[in-house]
Amino acid sequence: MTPSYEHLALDRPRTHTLDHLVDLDTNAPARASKFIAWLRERQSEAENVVWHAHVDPALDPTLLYHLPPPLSVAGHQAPSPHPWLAAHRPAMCHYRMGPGFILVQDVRQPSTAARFELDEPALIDAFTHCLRPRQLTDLDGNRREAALALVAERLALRLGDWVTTLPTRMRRWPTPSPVV
Amino acid sequence: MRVCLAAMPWQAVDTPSLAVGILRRRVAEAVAGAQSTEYPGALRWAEYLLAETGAAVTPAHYMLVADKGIGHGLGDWVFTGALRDEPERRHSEWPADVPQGVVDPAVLERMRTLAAGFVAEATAEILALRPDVVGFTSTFMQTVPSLAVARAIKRQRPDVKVVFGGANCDGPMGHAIHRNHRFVDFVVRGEGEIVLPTLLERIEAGKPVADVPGLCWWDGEQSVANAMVAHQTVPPALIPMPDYDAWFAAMDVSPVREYLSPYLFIEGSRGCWWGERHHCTFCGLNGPRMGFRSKPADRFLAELTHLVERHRVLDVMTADNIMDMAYYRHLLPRLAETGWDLRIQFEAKANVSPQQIAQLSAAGVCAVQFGIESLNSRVLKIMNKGVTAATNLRVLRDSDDHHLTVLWNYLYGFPDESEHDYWPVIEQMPALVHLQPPAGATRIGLQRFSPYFEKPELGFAHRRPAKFYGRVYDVPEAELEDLAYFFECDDAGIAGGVEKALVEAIADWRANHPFSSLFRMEGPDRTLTLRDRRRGWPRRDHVLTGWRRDAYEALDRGRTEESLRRFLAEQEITVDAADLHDWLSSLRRHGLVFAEGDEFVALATTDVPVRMRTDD
Repeated sequence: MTPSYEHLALDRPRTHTLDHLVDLDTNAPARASKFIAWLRERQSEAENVVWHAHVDPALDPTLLYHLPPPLSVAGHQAPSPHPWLAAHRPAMCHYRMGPGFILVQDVRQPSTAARFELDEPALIDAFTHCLRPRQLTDLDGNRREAALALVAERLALRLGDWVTTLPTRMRRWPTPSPVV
Repeated sequence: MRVCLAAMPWQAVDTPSLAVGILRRRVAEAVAGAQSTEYPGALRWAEYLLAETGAAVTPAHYMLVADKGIGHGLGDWVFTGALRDEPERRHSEWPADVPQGVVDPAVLERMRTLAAGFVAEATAEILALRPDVVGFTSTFMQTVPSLAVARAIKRQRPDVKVVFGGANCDGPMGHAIHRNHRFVDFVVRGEGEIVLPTLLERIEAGKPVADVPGLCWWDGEQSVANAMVAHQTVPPALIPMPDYDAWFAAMDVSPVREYLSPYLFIEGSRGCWWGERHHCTFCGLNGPRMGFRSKPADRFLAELTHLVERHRVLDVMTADNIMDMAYYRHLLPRLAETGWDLRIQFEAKANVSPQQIAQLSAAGVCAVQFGIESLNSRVLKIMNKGVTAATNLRVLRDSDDHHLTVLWNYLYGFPDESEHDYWPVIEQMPALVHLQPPAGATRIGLQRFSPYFEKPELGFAHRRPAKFYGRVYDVPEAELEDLAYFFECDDAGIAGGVEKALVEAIADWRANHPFSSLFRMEGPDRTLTLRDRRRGWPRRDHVLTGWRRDAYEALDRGRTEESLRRFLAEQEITVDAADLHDWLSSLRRHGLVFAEGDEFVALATTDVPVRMRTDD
């Protein structure tokens, strides 16, 4: 039987191939956060990323399962796919902008699947502000509090002092994606 | 006057009833002193199933019956025992003709044992609203569940007036429902926006109804059907924005909410502007009212905006049978400007330009039913679709460029078609695996109001009501002739080996699609690379340079060899005729074009959507 992730490796235009091993190192939070934000945008644009990773054991990889998975993870033994590649599906954790609200759907972990409707201005502000990785120390009190609330709900990643919004924006749906 | 409007199973459980939403607002604005309430019967049935089975029967099971059971009347079958207080009598009549795997029979039988209890609950909840009138809207499998509750209501409260309406009540069907069910006081045949308020006023005033167009009513024990006014339609100005407040309030606190993602159901138009001139031979969707009417783009946008803001839902299903062409100019650009991440589903005509497909995508339209139906021009002509195979291939190819889901079925079984219309397509299907496949190959059925139904001389002279009607209605056989929407008839068109080959080729297409791409990439010095990563084809990059690049791009719109030669000549590109012929043969051999007769269409896309495996 065909492995369920094989179609994710389909050759597509708009593919980014990274030659170097990307180190998701919690001791270099600015660099790791910026890479994760870049990866998120690639997913939002429905672009392919071909890359290989080293994932710091201190980083919870399940937070990233909705982002383009690395083809290999240093230290993981073949032949079974590493969990990120095995778990990844299109549209696992995404947000959609509406008039005065943001809808978020998160099925990265089926047991904790959740839907969020962000309508508090402070949360919407923090969510959109942290699409670019931000340092908590640069955020004012309300924004910091809202950003930490997003972290608590697994909708933002905190690495050291850095906070980055995690859901991808859903504008280009996978096919097939009928409403009904 | 208190009016309760009910949408019973098997209305989709994840969206409010458009009919109830519209008619509640019409009653409020057109009937002085009327108070309307509603009974979300579909939602309540899903809740009942969940509670009574300890969550063993979920909304997913409900939707399976609602989606897959239509052609077999399975939803009606679930309620037919409850309608007649005889849950066991027909229990043994499990329909042997229902293909295995459509719906689990054990689930259906469990639903059937629960139907009577649900009917009692539904009746109690409706009567607790103390209605003077209860209206049931019925499309597809809603009639038997509605009849079951209507009958129970009349038994307990004979003074309550019961009104039926909806698509199942159009034309002769409405009169058949009425005259065979004495507990149904009135049937509104045709669109209800004008007739229902008139009827309610007459009921309130105790006035006669003999002049209400299309209405069925009782004159003593005699069922009377007032004449329908031919082709009378309701103007868009009298079709209000639906009122969905009560449904969303019910859904928000429902135990089934966690199983579902509710979506909005709205309409921009009724009728079919194509069908007014060329009625597709198999289509009965518009009933006797083909006249196309559309809400102006301003109004459609205002209603959509209101409903999205009020209910905070970004998924939108449209009821339109064909999108108004004016929406390309006046609606889609404005939807794109909102910046909202809508997900809209429309039906549209397939003659669209690449720019129009881009507009659909930018506006948040993510899925379109273009009515593709076939990839053979002769068969498309038999069905009066007004498109060619080349048009349909272009739509499939260009939709991928904009990540647009294309919903379609490959239809066959048309009178006058032959296997020669199919073998060339079947042989080329392996070259199409990178494009979105049809849901399956489907032999057309005979539907009331379609040209094939209305004109037996077109090829379906021998017809009889679909078998399931006899199972779910306890009425004389002759009555079923008027009551039925689906009919069985002798097979027309292809059969045997070619039919089998078509079904298998489409199954292969579907299996290989998630893993297949064929796309073009710009290279240096105006080279164009066609990267072939289709299953079943060698992994290969075809590099096109010089005139070959121009020629391939010219095939985007579909051209004959002669047309292509002329095009190149107009560009002052000189190509030896034999070279051009050989090159086209080579494209055909490598599956880089689709060929029909002497016409060729380029198959390589410019983008490839992320693929969702359908078995995920």
